This record gives sequence, C-alpha cells and structure tokens, in this order.
Amino acid sequence: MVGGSRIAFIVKHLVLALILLIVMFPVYWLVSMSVKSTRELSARPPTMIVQNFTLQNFYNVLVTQNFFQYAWNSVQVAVIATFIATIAGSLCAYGLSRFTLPKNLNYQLLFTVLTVRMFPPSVTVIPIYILFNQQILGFKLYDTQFGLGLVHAFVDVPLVVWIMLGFFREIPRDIEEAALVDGDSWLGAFRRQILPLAAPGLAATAILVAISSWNEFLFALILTQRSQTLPIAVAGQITQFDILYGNLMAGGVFAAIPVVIFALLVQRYIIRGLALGGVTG
Amino acid sequence: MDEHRESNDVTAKRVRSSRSVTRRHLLKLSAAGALGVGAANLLGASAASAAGDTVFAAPRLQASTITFLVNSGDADRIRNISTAYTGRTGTTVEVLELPYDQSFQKLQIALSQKTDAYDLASLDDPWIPQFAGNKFLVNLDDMFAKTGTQPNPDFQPQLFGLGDWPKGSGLRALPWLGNVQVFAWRNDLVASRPNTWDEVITTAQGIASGSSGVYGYAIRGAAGNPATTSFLPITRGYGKDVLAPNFQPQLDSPEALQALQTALKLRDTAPPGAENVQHADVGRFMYTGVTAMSGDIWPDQLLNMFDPSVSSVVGLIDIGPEPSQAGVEPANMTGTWLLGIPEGSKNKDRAFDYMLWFTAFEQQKKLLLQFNNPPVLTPLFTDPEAVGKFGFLPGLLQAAQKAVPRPRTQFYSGVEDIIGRYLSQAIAGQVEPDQGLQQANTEVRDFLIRNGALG
Amino acid sequence: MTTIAPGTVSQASAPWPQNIRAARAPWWERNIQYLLPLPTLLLLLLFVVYPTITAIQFSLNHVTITGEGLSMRFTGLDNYTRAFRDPLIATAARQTLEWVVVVTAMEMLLGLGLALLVSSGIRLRGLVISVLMIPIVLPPIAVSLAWRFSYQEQFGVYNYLLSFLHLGPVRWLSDRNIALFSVMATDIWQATPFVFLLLLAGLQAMPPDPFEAAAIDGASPWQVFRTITLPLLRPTLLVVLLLRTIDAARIFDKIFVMTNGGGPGTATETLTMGIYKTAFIQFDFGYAAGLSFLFQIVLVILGTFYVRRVLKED
Repeated sequence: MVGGSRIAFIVKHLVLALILLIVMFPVYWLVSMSVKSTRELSARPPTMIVQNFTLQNFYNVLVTQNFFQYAWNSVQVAVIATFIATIAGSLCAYGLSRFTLPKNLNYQLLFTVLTVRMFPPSVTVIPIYILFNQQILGFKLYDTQFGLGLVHAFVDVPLVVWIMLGFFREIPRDIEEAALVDGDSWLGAFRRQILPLAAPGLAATAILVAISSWNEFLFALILTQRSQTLPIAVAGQITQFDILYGNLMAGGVFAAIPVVIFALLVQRYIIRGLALGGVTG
Repeated sequence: MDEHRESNDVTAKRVRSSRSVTRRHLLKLSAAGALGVGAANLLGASAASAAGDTVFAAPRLQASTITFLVNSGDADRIRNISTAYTGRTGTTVEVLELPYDQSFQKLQIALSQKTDAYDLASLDDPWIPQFAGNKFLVNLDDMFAKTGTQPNPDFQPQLFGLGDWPKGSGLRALPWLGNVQVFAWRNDLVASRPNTWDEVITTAQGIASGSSGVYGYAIRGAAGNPATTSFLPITRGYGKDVLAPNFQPQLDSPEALQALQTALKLRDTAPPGAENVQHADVGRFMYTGVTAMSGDIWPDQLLNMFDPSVSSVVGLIDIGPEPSQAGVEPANMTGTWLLGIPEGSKNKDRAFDYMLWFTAFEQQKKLLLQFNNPPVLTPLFTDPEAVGKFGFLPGLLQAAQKAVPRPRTQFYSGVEDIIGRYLSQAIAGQVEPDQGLQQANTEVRDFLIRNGALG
Repeated sequence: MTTIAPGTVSQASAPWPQNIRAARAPWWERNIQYLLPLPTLLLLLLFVVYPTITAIQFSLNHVTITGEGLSMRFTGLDNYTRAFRDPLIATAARQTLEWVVVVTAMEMLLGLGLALLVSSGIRLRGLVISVLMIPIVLPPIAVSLAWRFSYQEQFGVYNYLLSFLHLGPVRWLSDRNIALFSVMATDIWQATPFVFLLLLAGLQAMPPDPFEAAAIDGASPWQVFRTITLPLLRPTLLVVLLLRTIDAARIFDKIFVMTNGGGPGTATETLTMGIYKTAFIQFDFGYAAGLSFLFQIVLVILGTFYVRRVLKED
C-alpha cells in the first residue's frame, strides 16, 4: 500500500508541475516582453532569455504616463463594485434560500437576475451614457468612480446571487433556528453562524467581482474620461501608429499586481474550510 | 440695422451664459469680451501675418482652461508643446486621451449629445464627413471672420482641403499631423522604381523567388479597415476607387477585379500569414528587412525605418507616390489628423486661438523635430534642418501633392468594414475574387441605400 | 452546535418558526424576506429598466446619429426578420455555438480536475492556488496581445518552440480552420481559473462526515468521487456551468484584439462581435438592438433548462 500511494503522490505532483508549466509559460513570456527593448521585441528568432534587460517600458507607463492615477481610479471603482455587489447579492441570495416569496417570485427574481447578464453590453452602453449625463439632484454620475462602480456592481450582481444561493442552500436552517432558540437575533445568527460557513463562497465571489471590475473595458471607456481606469490606459498603448508592446506588457504587469495581492489575501478564506471538511484521496 | 443685430447677439450671449455664472461675473465677461473683440479686430491684420503670434489681445479672456481630446499616442507630445501656450496666455490646456480604436465610437456618442466636455478634438480625416457633415464641429470660417484673421497660407493644399466638408460649406477643421500613405521600396533590392502595378508584381515575384531571403511585398489581410486600406491604392491605381464620387460602389468593375487579382499575386510574395497582418506588422516587416516593398506605408513606419535604434535597413528605403497603370493618375491616401472644435464647447474663442497657435510654423517645427510629427505646412517639408533629420520628407511631400482622401461619406466606416470582410476572405482563399467583389458590391449598395446615402 | 446530517439541503419552502419571530422581532425582521432582495432589485431597476426600454425602442426603428442626436424611423419588426436572412449572422451564430461548446467543456473539465487535484492534499497548496490564479488577474488585453504576438508566424515564440521539435510552422491565426481554436486556447488558459476557484470553494465547503464514513468503509477514491463528491458538488457544478456558458457566449475582447474582429475572413466572427460592429462601425443601432434581443432570447431559452434543474435541488 505504501508503494502505491507513493507512486500516486509522485504522479500527482508531476501532473501538477506540468500544468503549472503550461500556466506559467505565457506569464513568463508576457513579463519578459515588458522588460525587452523595442529592438529585442522584433528579434528573429525571439530571445527566450532577455538579453538587453530594460526598465524603460515601466518608466514610460508609470512615470511619463499617469498609470498610478489610473490604478487609483481602478481601485476605487473595484472596491465600490465589490462592496455593493457582494453585499446586495449575498443578502438577496440568503433571502431567496430561506424564504419563499408569494406568487413564485423566487423563481422570477432569480431568472430575471440571470437574464440581465445575458444582454450584450454594446447596445445598453448608449442609454446608460445618456442616463449618466442627466443631472439628478444636482449631481451627474458621468465620469465618477462611484458611477462606474455602480454599473460594475450591476453587471456582477447576478454572479454573486447565483453562486451564493448555492452556498447558502448547503447550510441547513437548523443552525439559525438553534441560534434563535438560544436567544440570538436574526442578524446575530447570520453574522455568527452563517457567514463563517459561507466564507469560501463569499471570498471566491469577491475575488471574481473585483477582478471583473478591474479588467472591465467597455463601460469604463464610455462612462469615464478623467477618472479613467487602467484597462483604458493599457489599451492606449495601441496607438494609431504602432502597438507599443513593451509599454503594454509593462502596463499589464503593473495592472496585475494589486489584484494578485488582493487574491493572495482573500484566498486563505477559501482554503480555510480544509480544517472543517475536505476531500481526501 | 447692424446695431440691432449686434445687440441681439449680445443678448443671446447673456441668456446662454446666465445659467452658470452670476450676474456680476457676467457683466465682467461681457465687458472683457467686447474689449477683446474690438482689440482683436484692430490687431487682426498684423496678427495674421506675424507667424505664430495670433494671440488675442486680452490674454486672460474667458477660459483659463481648455480641454483637448487626443489619442493616447499623441498625448505626451501635445502636453509637452502646450506648456509654452500656458506660459504665454495663462490658459491651461488639459489634455485628455482615448485609445485610438475606440475614440471614434466615443466621439460619436459624445459629440452627438453636444457635450461640453471637450473644447478641442483631434480627428482622423475619415471621420470628418461624419462629424462635419452632421454639424458637430464649429464652422471655422465664422471664427476667422470674427477675429479678422485668415487661415495660414502655408498649409499644404491637399491636406488643408480635408477640413472643408461638405465642400464649400465652410472649414471645419485644421490639419496638424500630415499622415499620407506612400509606396516604399528597398533601393538595394529594387533596381528601378516600379511605376505600374504590373511592374510591382514582377519585381516582387523576382525578389521573393530570389536568393536574398527577402519577401516581395507586405500587404494587410486582416478583416475590416486593414485589408481595405491595403487594397485602396491598388484599386485606385487601376483607375477605380471603391466608391464613385456619387458614392456608387464600383467593386463590380473590371478594374476592381484586376486590382484584387494583383493583390492576391502580391500576397503570394508576402510573408505567410497575411490573413492576419495589421498596420504594426507591416511596419515591422519593413524595418526588420523581411519585405522589400509595400504600398501601405505611413510616416510613423517610415520613422521606424529610418531610426537606427530599431531599423536594420537605414538608408536603404526610398519612397514616393503610389504606382498606377498607364493613363491613371496616382492617388495616395490620406490619414491626416485634424483639429476641430465641438459645437458644445463653451470656450470656442480660446480653443480657436490655441488651434491657430498650435498649427503655426514654430510649433509645427518643434513637433516635427522633437516629437517626429509628420508636417502639414509646405515649408516644413523642404526645411533643411528637417530634411537633414528625416530624409523621407521630400518623398512625403510628393505623395501629399497626389493625396486624395477616402470616399467622403459619413458611412465610410461601415463600407470599409464590409469590403474589408470580403477582401480578407479572398486573401484567405475562402471566396473567389469575382464572387467576393460582387457580393461586397451588393452589400455595400444595400448598406448605403438603407442609410439614405444613395438614392 | 447541532450535528449536521449528511446530505441535508435546506428546505426553502418551510415556514420560518412563527413563534420565534412574532415574539421579539422588530418590523424589519418580520418582513425580512422582502427586504433582503431589495438592494439587488434597486440596482437592477436602475440599470435595466431604462436601457431595456430604450433598446426595445431602438430595435423597432432605424436609428442613426445625426446633427440633432439620435434620429429614428419606425421599421416595425424589420430588424428582427433581417437577422434571419443575414448570412453573416448565420455564420456568427454557428461559430458562437462552436465556441461555447468547446470552451465551456474544456474549462469545466480542466477546472474540475484542477480543483480535485489541489484539494487532494498536495504540497505548497497556497502557492499552487496563487499561481493558478495568475492568468485570470492579468488584463485581458495584455493577455490577448501577448498570445497574438506569440502566435505570429515570423516573430512568435510558439512556432519557434515547435521548430525545435521539427514541427512545421503553424498558421495559428491566419489559417481559417484553426484560427478560432487558437483564440479559444487563449480564453481557456485565462478563464479556467474562474471555474477552478469556484469548484475549489465548493469542494472546501463540503461536510466532512460522509467522507469519514466512506474512509471507514474502505471505499476507493473513484467510488468516493462518484457517490459522494459528485452529487454534493452538483449544484455548484451546474451554477458554474450556467454562468460560464453565458459568459462564453458573450466573448468579445479576445477576438477583437487577436483577429481584428472576425478574421481571417469571417473565421472568428461571433455574435457579440457582429453586434458590436453593427452598432459602432455601421452605426446601425436599431439592427444591433434587434440582434441583442434575439441573442438574449436564445440564451434565455437555454438558461430555462439549466435554471429549472438547479432550482429543483430542493
């Protein structure tokens, strides 16, 4: 038996190594493009190891262009979007998992929420642009981080509702009932008993909403100008003349870093569940 | 009579601006405005002749900030240049940027809503029919009349004419980036410059089958704008543009078919993968010495070809007008960028003043020498200092003199997209040339009829 | 803490304990079932109602941009019937279907495999998860261009690597038979972490008792997988499948960047690409709106099947 599981162990890690290689090679290539000079980028054959390492591309986007400002805009938008989408979506999912609304509303609501995600954004962009340019209470949503964050939240709320619905339904109602019997309020029960159990799902959806907002392009393009986000700035490296590959990849690397940090911070909530229950073998 | 009209104008001005300014402010503005206009009229004559010195007599007139929308690729140099204007007039020029591929879309939406977000916009000349035709841009002739100035006579005539649309209805934009398509070839591999497309074919085939390891021709085959832009000089070289002056599609003509067959033969001498080749790829092919000729070359690619830090072929490139069959006048395409003032702008006068300053010789020369901006003023093409740095300028001027814009319909982007799809299919071998052209012709005609561009 | 019976799924239809609620709860707790979905509803109302009405209006007219803004000319259902006669839309629809089927299948299989692998006790698990997440955090435009550059026949690194194995240069993006698959590879590479992450979370949230019981009974890994893991994971699997299918159908960025939207020829043309071009290059907003609704209707029909199955999990 020991020999058998040994082989399984080795095979498992070999397969894993191979997969990691396939995953990492394009990343390596992208990063290497960000530190190559224009001349080296056009080398034939391509240079596997960077020969003339240069930080010029990073200098171009971070110092000459305004990438820190764009990053800050993106952060604000992503935080707002994640916050709103996760809270609104989780509450909605929780309600739908526990309560039955009259006249089959549960099903209607869930389905409507889903169909929202099905509509290609090309056409809705114009009405939303017009809407955002209206003065509501002396206030225009156009070109604000809040406005864009709101739109991103709306785009991702279906994701949150559907994923969290599944997670909430896996948690038996006995838990709240027991807590209520013990004298806790509903809100207390939710916070103390339900949330920890739903943490993996919440963490996963939060990451995905944040990433989706961080990389979103079309709405960001149409609904912002000064509060431009990173994807627009990165796309700006495709000029009417040339594609500034070096700059673009440098911008891409830079844009990835905050999200990597966020994912690293949040992913432990996903695997925390391993202590409670996991799959072995 | 005039007096009456004058006071009506003033009243109108008052009504419009009273929405956002206090009365006091308003009175001050009107006073300054009247003074400024009066003084400018007096100085108008002298201002026009003193090159680069067309500033309003009252420098702190109205706006202390104007917003200028440009493409991401141009933002840096425009910011750089504009600091001099700020120093002189106190007006800040806020440069906003958009990525190229999407600026047309965003401008469409924004300008049609009469946005006041931009005081100036940098526009590609194929966009002029759409924006000028729909009156999204201020009529510059009125601005010239108002300030008593004249347009700079040094503008290269073909490039200057691009801003006049609809023809004769008034100038809507001034050129600032002289982008003209040229034919470029390797003078070390090509014995004598090919004058007709037949000669181009034989030369290309000779080089491709030769021992130099170099391909004959670089052609764009990616669907849409790339394929159409590579095809245009060829079909014009056979005598027929894709649309006739009355916008009837001419793709079903024998000339267009010959042109497509030529394009396919050239594709055979091109590096494999033409089906996906775009603008940046063509440039790379030329400056790394992979291909010997191309009729789809633009100044930015020339800059790379002449730049020792990236190019392997410095000094080996010559340029000139596009080849054309016997009896056909060569026609180089323009892709010039112009400056326009959106109708919704609240700072038209200041924007106009900046525009004149920006396109004056001094600034244009700086843009050329420091920032590699292709010129639009005739004297710059032959300026010794400029030519010393950029050897291709005389050839570029020759090409500019033969420059003809793309068909001037506001629906050209749609036409280009349809044609480009069929061309790309033909290049990929997905459809027979004559069939493809017939279908393209029908689809383009239906598209134009549906949009009311054809009777 | 009450013990959790294995396989219990909450009964959404059972009434909340009446005596507990009425006794002590404020009004907002008593009506909580209406309040919980409210924020979501508000969000939807704001951004769905107005644009949808406008889009319906567009789809029934011929809309163009003129000097006064948008001008409309009533055309009834023309924009819808035109879609059925349009050969380009037919091609786009077929290719979108191809895309959705292949991409979704590959991502689900790979994602599931990876999630199982990672959950099964490996070294450096945190590091592995972080590495596997990298593709999805990179901006799609940078990824698309890096892959496009790598696919390039003269300067690209993939053909270069293949040349070491004496395999001929592949015309990744210029051969119309494989161009779509080349772009698919890029998307699969970037989007599998989405599936992986959600399935991993699903696996981690599973109760331990059934597995302990199975270990005691001496079940083989395959048996455990088939009889315990898969059924427990099924709801999550279906939801992820549903979401991925919808997202896959809306593919746009990668095709736009890698093949300039549809090339070579029409080999990579998809529905969202067609809609975008119709709206923003041909400026035919009416037709684009009509196409968008048709697109949505198809997805809705598809979705109905999924949704019934997922919601029937009671």
